[in-house]
Amino acid sequence: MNGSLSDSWHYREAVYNLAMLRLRIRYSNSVLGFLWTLGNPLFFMIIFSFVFTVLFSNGIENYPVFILAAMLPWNFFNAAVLGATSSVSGAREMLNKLSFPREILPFSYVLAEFINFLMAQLTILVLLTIFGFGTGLPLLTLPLLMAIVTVFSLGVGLLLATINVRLRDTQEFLGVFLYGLFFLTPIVYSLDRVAADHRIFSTLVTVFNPMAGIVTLFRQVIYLHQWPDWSLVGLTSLISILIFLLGFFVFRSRSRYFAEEL
Amino acid sequence: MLNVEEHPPVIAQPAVKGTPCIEVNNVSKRFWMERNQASTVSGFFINLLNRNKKPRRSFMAVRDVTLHVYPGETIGLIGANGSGKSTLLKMIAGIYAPTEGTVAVRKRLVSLLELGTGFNSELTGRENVYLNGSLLGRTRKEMQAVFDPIVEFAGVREFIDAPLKHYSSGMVVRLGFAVASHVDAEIMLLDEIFAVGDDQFQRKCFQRLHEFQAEGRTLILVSHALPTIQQLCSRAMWLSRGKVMDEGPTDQVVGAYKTYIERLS
Repeated sequence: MNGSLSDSWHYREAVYNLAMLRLRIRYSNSVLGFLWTLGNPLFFMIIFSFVFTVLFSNGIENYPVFILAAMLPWNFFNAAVLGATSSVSGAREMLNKLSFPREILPFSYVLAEFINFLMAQLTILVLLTIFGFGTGLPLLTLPLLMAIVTVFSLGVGLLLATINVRLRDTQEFLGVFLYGLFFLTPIVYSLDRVAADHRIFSTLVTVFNPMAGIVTLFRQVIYLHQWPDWSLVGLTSLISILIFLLGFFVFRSRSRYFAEEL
Repeated sequence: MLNVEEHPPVIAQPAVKGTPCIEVNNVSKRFWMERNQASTVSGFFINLLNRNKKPRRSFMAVRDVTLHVYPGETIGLIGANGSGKSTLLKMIAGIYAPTEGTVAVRKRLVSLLELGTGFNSELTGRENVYLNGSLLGRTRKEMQAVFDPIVEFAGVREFIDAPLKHYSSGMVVRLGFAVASHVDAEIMLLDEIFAVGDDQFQRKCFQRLHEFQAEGRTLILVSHALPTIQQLCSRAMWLSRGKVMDEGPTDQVVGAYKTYIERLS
């Protein structure tokens, strides 16, 4: 283990195998299988649509699509980070008997969630087309946006996986924290609709929550059919790469001690 | 226990020298009995406030061990439980990082510390072979080349596409040894693998290890079974409480160890 990414690359097949194993275990235990991945955002879309269009009218056109566009990348981030965080502490046996580069564990969890995300995204796009919501050339930037949210999730996941080895209830706190962050991310609302006297909120969210920028980009492309705000693309890419490098560095500097610390 | 007389004698091993393929230099390993911080987020904050902390207790599992292994050698590590031999093996395998000293491994290595680690009971035997191979850092292509010999050795041909949960424990163990002993590697580390499996399987393992030696590859064995060590190893190291008590030709070291045990009892 010499501390480079090429080391992890050598174990790419293990990452893939572990991710597939995860997906298989998840889906073989439920008849509906993949539909669960799709069912979750659809369910929330219906609930939120009911609450915010029927109970509290908000005047946003096509509100279900508005939510869905931001919900899918959020769900991916949420699941990927939760999975990656417990990936190392949950693999005590393996870590004590095998010497593979430790980062393949969080990588495989994120990959499994990414595959889910990809399938859900494609299904939603097909559904939107069928229902005549329309598509457009800006959708071509989706792979780039998906790459950004993946790199960001990996970085956060690596960081939290490292912490979770020492402080084992990090994963418990994380569940609560992510639940709060969901509402501090413009998923069921958008920042440009926040009332003028609460602009400070929008600024804080934009600055401190990279997911805000990321879901906004997804919404621009899927919901508004616009080309993404390129300066925001640049900014979120930069933040994601920095977080990833930080996460990878921290993880790698501690991973040689994981086996004995668990 | 296995009847040693049935087996071929130790294959004459090359007079060692050249560059060592494993170099363990003045290695020590300290384990902490308890964490310096409680292992929870809340405990972490309580600890920050708590001023009179208890000092951490630790123990040295391995103390100042130096071992140079040359290509083609078979080394046996012996000693009582808790003597540090498995810890030493894990440092060579890259699972533990040494507290002091350095470990350098210059050839491709495979370690078999427990049969069947990394197997998943939901996957078929075939899928497990490839999963295990990938966890050992081998590509699918590399595994395809040795797939048939693995299945042959493990004797699970008719069950290879059945989920592992339907295997007997003996079959799982055989498959585990088959994978580890067939992947491409110049060095193999084994920890007490002879404690499991029936006589017939043990005999097969021996045969496989002899093949390994005949091909000029390097082995390090940890075992309590002194006849096994004597039969396979050209050199042995005896550890006690983490320290090297004796090191040299197997018969000499095993003899010294036996004398020591007899004196104790």
